[in-house]
This record gives sequence, structure tokens and C-alpha cells, in this order.
Amino acid sequence: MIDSRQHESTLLEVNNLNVDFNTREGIARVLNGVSFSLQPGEVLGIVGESGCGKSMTALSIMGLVPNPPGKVVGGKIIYDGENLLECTPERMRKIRGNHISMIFQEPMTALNPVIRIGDQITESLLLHQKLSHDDAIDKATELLREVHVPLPEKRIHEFPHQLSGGMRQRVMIAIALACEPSILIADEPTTALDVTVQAQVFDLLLELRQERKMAIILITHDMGAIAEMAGRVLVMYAGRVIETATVDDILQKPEHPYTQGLISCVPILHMGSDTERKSLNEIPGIVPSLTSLGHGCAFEPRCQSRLPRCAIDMPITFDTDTDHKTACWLFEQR
Amino acid sequence: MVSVLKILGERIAFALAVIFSVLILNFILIRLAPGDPASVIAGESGGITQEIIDAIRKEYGLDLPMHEQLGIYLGNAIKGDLGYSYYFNTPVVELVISYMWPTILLIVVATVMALILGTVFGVIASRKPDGWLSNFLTVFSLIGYSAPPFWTGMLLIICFAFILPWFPVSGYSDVTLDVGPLGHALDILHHLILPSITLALIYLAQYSRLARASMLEVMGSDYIRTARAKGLSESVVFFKHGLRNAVLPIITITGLHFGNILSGAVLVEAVFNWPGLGTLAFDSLLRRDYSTILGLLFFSAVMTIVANLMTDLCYRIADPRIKIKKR
Repeated sequence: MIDSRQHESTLLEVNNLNVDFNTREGIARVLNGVSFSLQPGEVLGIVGESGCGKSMTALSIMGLVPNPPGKVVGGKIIYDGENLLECTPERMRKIRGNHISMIFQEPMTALNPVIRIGDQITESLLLHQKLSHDDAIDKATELLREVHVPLPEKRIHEFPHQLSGGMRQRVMIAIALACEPSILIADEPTTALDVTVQAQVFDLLLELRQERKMAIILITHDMGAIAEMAGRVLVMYAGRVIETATVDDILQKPEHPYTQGLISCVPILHMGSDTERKSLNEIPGIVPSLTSLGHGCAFEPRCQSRLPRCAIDMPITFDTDTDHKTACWLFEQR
Repeated sequence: MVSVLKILGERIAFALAVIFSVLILNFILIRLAPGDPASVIAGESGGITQEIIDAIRKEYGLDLPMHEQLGIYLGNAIKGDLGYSYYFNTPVVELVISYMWPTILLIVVATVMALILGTVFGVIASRKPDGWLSNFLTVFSLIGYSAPPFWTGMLLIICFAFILPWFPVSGYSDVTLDVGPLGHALDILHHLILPSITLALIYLAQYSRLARASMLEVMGSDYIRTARAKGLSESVVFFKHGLRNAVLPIITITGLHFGNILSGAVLVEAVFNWPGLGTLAFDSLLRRDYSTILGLLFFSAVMTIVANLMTDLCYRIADPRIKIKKR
């Protein structure tokens, strides 16, 4: 994307964020020193396997980490000069849904089944924007039109079960956009949807970003979505950010062995005959249990190019290129 | 609206068919039970000789074959005549109606009490699932559910009528009082408190457990997270988004419980000498008063069906996912 980024004011800065979860096996550090920044209007992708802390990062920003068992134990989340982790719950409620909003993975269950679509959209308008009821209804209809829901005047009087999955996700997006937030966090927004609908939702998000100049944090494990949407990408593994780079760098010259594995795992469609088919790539091994992480790199047991010190010392983050950071000992000498 | 009326009509037709079957089934069942009303009547009125018993049989039509008796019974039932009580010397319909109101009062008060308090307790407990209130409710519901109502009833009488003489021991109203209609109503209410608590205790415990479990489940669901992500206050999230969904199973259970609560009322009425259908059922069973028993069974079937019909309608209002068209 644009390189003048550094000169723009940072919209959101996450600094050394640590989140612990109390589990039966002990305390699991689900986020370990997560740091990144987000510029206005930027699309930041966060990728990684299930359980790597992508969603927990998003929930931490929203102040919605389920507590108990989870707890933010350290770090800073600076939004507009304010540390969100030190806000009162009242202040946080004013930011949530108003300045920062979120759409979730599961559109089928994310809407309240007994409340009409219109009421679910107007709720935050009435709360944050103090609109009158009639104005809020008009705005809700307008929002539904904007997210390309057909017959919005009719839809606002319907219940979620009367809509398809794709339509429900559009409603979710309309809810998230209602108060014109400056940050939209999309946590795997298309995972539960058909491929054709996925493309529509991504197009919609890009279109809305263009119109409203809002920043998007896109959480996904779909590298295709990242390639299409994101400007910059964070790769996470076992609660840590292991590589940060522009989307082109991540896709074309990934540095961290885990990122390389992740990219090589993306299946490529072959048009040729059956004999040309290759078996799918995989990264051998499994993600380690977060309760029993050692001192070294969490990826070390699965890593093909591990060094002796990888098992002992946690790698620090190296600047390997302009806008390219990698947490791996392989890059120490550079 | 048209579809609501249509479904209502369909349900009522179905209910009528059920009531008709109940009539036939009850009639056959009660005659299969041992005991002979003619000898009971003869016994009540003095000497028992075969001639007297035969005369009584003839007078009440008990000498006819069973299918003829059934035919006569059904024919009269359609005309709104459920027979004549041998023992009370009154038409059954009149008898049932005169005993009906105290029972309806008792059941409605007990159900409303159990429903409201149960839901409130359960909802409060769900806020702290491991708190003392939650644990107390678990124990309380076990006791409430296992203790037979005649026992809890007697215990309440001992505590709150003898040791602490706050409430009357038994009965429906104090006939010696001359206090005008309002005073009379208050007097009935005063008499109602202990029996309705006894009856409510069984269900209060169950509803509070159900409300707690249901609320816990709902508060963990995705749409609650969505509601929180909008920045809504915790009380709006809890009551508007949570409770609305959590009451759905409670509505269902309340409807299903209605038949049980009616049978529970029989015991409670016996303990508190409450002049309702339970007391009437108890007396007529001892007397083999066939027509009254049949009338009562018929009536309780009607009450249960009406209650279920109402539950069904409530559920449709509370949960938009249930389409009016489908059953």
C-alpha cells in the first residue's frame, strides 16, 4: 500500500498486549506481547490457525474478553490518545459500537432471534447518536440499502430467521456501520458463507471502506481473502505476532518458516489432468498447548529450519526490510 | 389475523375431539373400578336389602347395559347435562361450577407466584452461577420438588397458623365476619396465602432452576456478544436481549405443568379444607359418586386443554420463529 503511512496519525496502537485464560490445565497465555498499529483507512489482515489469538486480539480491543476465564494482564491499547484498557466500563460502552465496531463469524446466530431486524439496527443509533425513533428507522432503512439488502423497507420489519445467511451478515454489517465507526473489526466475516456470497461481502466491505474512509481489521485464515482485501498483514502463532509485512511481501517473500508453510499450504487449482494433481501441503505437527509453552519459540517443534537456540530463547522481532518485521532467530545476522 | 383465527379454529376443533374422547374413556374407566354406587347410596340411607339396591339401580339407570348408559350419558353431555349427583342431590354441572372458583383462584395465584418468583430467583442466580443464592436454589429446588405438598402444607400450618398465628388454619373465608364485599375479598386472600404458597413451592423451585439454566445458556450465545459489541448497557443486554429469549422454555413448561398443578391442588385443598374441586373429588371418590367424578374429570380435561391452548398462543406471541401456518 502507501508508504507515507508513518507520517499519518496512528488510529489505533496495540502495545505489548498480554491476555491470560484460566483453564483446568493451568493459566494459558493466549496473547503474548501482541503489538501493532492501525492507520486511518487501512485494511489490516490478521492471519493464523485456529486458536492463535486472532479473535482474542479483536475482543481485547472491544473490551469483550470473557472474564472469567479471560483477563487482560498487561499492555496498552491506545485509541485516539486514550488507553482503552484503563477506560471505565461506561466510557468503553460509548466507544464500542460507536467508534469501533465488530462483525462476527457466525451470522446465523449473531442476531437476536426474537427481535426485529429494524430494532436491532436502530438500537445503537438510539443509544449513541440520540436519534429520534423515526429518524433511526429511516437511517436503518438507508443502511440496509447501502449494504445491498433488497426491499429494505420490508426487511426492517422481519425477523432474522426470515433472512438467508448472506443477508444476515449484511444486516450485521449494517449494525456495525450504523454509527459510522472509524474502525471495523471483521472476525472471519465470510467463513460461514457460500463462496459467491463471500466475494460479495468482501466487495461490499471494500466499497464501504472507500466511501467512509474507515479502517478495517480483517481476521481470517483465508489467504485468498487477505490477498484481495488487506494492505498489511499480521501473522500470528500461539498468541504472538511472528511476522508483519505488506500483503505483497507476505505472499511473495514470506520470511518466518511458519508463514512460508502457511503460504505453501494454500491449494492451487490445477486445470490439467488427474496425474498432474499433487497432494496438499501441510505443516507437520500441531499447535502446542498454550498452558505448556516453553521459553523458546512456540513454532520450534514444527520448524524445518530450527536453530539450537530456538528451543531456549524466545526470538525477538527483527526489522528485515522496510515495513517487514519477523520474530525468528534466522534473521538475527541481517 | 385471519391465519391466527384459522389456527385457533383448528385448535378448538381438535380440543373438542379430545374432550369427547376423554368423556368416553372416563366413563368406561370409572365403571371398571371396583365398588357399586347403589350399595353406597343404600348404605347411606339405612338398611341394605337386595330390593332397595335393585330399586336404586333402576331409578338411576344403573341396571341398563353399559353401552346404553354411555349413549344416554353422551347424549346428555352434548346438551350440557353431566348427570345428577346421588350424594349431593344437585346437578353435576351446578355442583362443579360452585366448587370451581376457589380452585381456579388457588391455581392461578399459585402459578403466577411460582412463575414470577421462580423466574426472578433464577435470573438473579444466573448472574452468579457459583454464588450462594445459586447453591441455595439448588438445595431449595430439591426440597421443594421432593417434599409432598400435604407435608409442606401441614408444616406451614404449624409454623404460621399455630406457632405464629398470622394466618387462618384452614377454610376459604370466615363466615362469622360481617365486613362487606371488600372485607370479604381480603378475608379470602388471607385464607389463600398458605395454600397457594404450599402449591407454588413445588413449581417455584422448578421454575427457578429452569430460569437459571436457560438464562445461563442464553447469556453465552452469539447474539448477546453482538448486543454487547453495540455498546448497550449490561441491563439492556440482560433484560432485553437475554430474558426475552430465556423465558421461552419457561412458558412451555408452565403449560405442561398445568395438569400436574391441578392434581397437586387436590392434595392442598384436602389439607387446608379449601372448598374447591379437590375437596369435591375427594368426597365423591369415597362415595362412588360416578356422575360427579366424571364431571370433575371432564372438567379438569377441559381446563388442561384450555391451558395448553393458551400456552400455545403465548408462545406464538413470544417467539416469532414459530410460524402461524405450521403446527
